[in-house]
Amino acid sequence: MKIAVLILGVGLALLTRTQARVWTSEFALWDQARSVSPTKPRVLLNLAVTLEQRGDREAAWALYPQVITAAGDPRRAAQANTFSIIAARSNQARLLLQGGAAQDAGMLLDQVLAVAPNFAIAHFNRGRVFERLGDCAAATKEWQTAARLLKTLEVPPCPAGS
Amino acid sequence: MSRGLVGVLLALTVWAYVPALTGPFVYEDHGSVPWASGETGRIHWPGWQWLTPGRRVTMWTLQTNYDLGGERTLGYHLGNLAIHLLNGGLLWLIARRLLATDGAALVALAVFWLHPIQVEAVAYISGRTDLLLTTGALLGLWAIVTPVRLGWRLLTLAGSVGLALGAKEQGIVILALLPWSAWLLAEVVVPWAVVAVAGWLLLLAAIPLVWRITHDPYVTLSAYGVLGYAAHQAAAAWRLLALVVWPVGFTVDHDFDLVGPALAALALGALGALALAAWRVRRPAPLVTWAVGWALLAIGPRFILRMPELLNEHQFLTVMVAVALAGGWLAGALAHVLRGVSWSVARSSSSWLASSSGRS
Repeated sequence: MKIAVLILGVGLALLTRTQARVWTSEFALWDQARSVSPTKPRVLLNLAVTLEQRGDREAAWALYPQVITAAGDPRRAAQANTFSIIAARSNQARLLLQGGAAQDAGMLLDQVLAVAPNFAIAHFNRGRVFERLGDCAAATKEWQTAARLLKTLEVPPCPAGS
Repeated sequence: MSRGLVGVLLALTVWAYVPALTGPFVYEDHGSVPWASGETGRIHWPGWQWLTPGRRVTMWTLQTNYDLGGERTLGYHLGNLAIHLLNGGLLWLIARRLLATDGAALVALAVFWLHPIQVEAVAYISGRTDLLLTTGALLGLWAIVTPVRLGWRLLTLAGSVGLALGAKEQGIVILALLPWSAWLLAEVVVPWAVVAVAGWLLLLAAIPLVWRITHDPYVTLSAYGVLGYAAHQAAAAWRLLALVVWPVGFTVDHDFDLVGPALAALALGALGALALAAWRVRRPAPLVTWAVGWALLAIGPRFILRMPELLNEHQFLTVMVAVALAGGWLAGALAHVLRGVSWSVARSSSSWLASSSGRS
């Protein structure tokens, strides 16, 4: 029995150590999640955000449409699906803006806000679009709306550094 | 010999979790830790805050981690690992009371400390809630199965209830877990008057928490109806149980929404059948009955309160107390049978089934 306990302990310890390594980075965590839940919108969304944080914008860009497709599954909660779609579109807009396509980013954010007018992140990103287009008054108004909707957001100066 | 093996299992547990000690804040940790550091949300000791519903104990421990090491994660991870080791220690004491041999108790301890399904509760800083809830549950169970003076027993039980209720909202399950365990496993009969007073005090303590849970808008966001939700939770429970047996397919985010309604209904039916079967063996094998009941009660609220999330791995930690003890019992039974095969009738019946009366 004691030898069996030792074998059991060592076997489980090896498996646990392997799984513990997954928790050493956000990317490893969501990459594993994708392998188990490949069509779950939240998994794909969080993996895309992690890829952005790692600087892999192309991979993130390729993943956001998959989030939107996965969120079309009616077997999931409508509220969760809607959130996944507007979050993915907002993040796509941010990538477009970072790539210099401010007009396209603005159109995408208009679509998001038509569906979810109280989505603070979209307001904040639309403020960035207006800032890029040189309209500081509109930018500040968007940021104020965002800060009112989400207390952790602050109104930045416009133009930046002023 | 047993102590030596406990030491080996302890060392293996620490070794297995070393990689996680350097892990950053992930997923919902970003929401937990700023809360702990924010001046307006700080928990003060002593203070009236402790008597109001909320995750006071958990937040106080996270706040202590913040005060000691700021946003460096090592302290938070060490805290989680220390609580997990403490929980295993309590489980070891309980297993030695409930299981017939040290070997069986060691199997229970190995499963509880080292099974990879526990990683989410231990390596995830936000898993602190489930770790502390399980500490409360184990402390209460220890007080029930260990012969101590009535005063100490009641004091320990009160502490265990306070710990579980202050760990997370789900801690309310301790109000069912302890009476269930006392009924099936207690060696000492507690006077009815004491039980009645304690019961009323517990109910009074639970009222604010029940109000908080039932008025939380988060519990109304599910896509399922009442039965559909319970059926999908049952499917999730079976999947997690399957992960215990065949530990492949762990993830921070399972996709139980895609389980079809027929399979989900089958899962719910199978859970009912398991409960019925466990009830029928309550006299020859009370530990099996207790384990199935403990597991179902530990996740019971999740079948009723329709939160948008279905069960995940870290929420299985309290269930793992029952799984580990049942695993130890099963290993003891198997060892007994195997010994019987090799030694024929030379040994008379030992007490591997004597689960409720425990060890002498």
